[in-house]
Amino acid sequence: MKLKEGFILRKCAQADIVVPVGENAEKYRNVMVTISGSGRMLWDMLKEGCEREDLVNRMLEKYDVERSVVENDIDIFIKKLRRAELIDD
Amino acid sequence: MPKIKLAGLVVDIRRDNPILNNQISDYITDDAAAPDITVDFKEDYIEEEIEQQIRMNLSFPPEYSEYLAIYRYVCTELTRHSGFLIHGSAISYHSAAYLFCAPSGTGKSTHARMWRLAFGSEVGMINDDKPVIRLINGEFHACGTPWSGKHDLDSNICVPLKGICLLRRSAVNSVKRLDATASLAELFSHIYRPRQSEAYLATVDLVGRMLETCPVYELNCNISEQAAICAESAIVPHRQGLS
Repeated sequence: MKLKEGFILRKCAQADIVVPVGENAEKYRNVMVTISGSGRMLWDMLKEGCEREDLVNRMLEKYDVERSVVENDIDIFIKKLRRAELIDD
Repeated sequence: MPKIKLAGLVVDIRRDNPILNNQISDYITDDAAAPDITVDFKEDYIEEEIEQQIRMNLSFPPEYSEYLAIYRYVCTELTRHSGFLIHGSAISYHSAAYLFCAPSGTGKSTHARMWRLAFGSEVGMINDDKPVIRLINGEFHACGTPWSGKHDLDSNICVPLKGICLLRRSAVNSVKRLDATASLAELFSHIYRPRQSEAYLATVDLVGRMLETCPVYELNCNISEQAAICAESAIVPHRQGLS
């Protein structure tokens, strides 16, 4: 999985807003996605390209939480990015 | 078209648009200063407006497309002057501005009308549909614009912004302070997001700064003066905690 090119994160309040830039500015101008907490770390990983499993493992390294909880959170996060058409497979 | 002044900025609109002409009388200025914003574009800028309408299955008369194109141009340029446009109804009350935002048809104009019924002449309309928010002398203000929606309720004033309410229809009236971060996506759905990345990023930065000082509330309300009274006691700083 990899994030599409042409999106940057911009800090706003305690979150980041996904802003379409360049050629995407027009096509994706109605995309409204905010990312907070660990989202930025996952975003950076997806920018480089990685698998769901990599995201889950990274979160488990960082936080002392049940695998099932993390998996659920990651699935929600990926779903949010997919719905906004931000991910290429 | 004569020069106008809105949100403290001199705007020179070099298009002769009949719809806008009918709405600018309160905004005409004889300020001799060089314009902060000059609206001048070629026909292809209006074409973009028409293409957008086609995508949305809409069709407007040419002068209305031009009217919207001027509006889009001003909104984009505003970001160079620490301003942005938000879709909502802005009222002034005791020298403070409060903004009610909600998807079209929810009843933000109706709620603003409830304030006028409940508090009479203490309430003024800044703009019933598309106010400008602008950072002036370190403070965010809600400012009137000639683009004021179907009720044509606006005044050419700038008032310090003291609260933003995201409106929900509800049988029971209640107000809850929201975490600014959690309300970002919804708030941005009401904010004009320019097509130029630079202007878009400037808007994001401004909204971030605004949220450092301006509280955001969820306002559940019905259509009654009581809804305005409930909101007033919760969002007006000098009233908070008194009832």
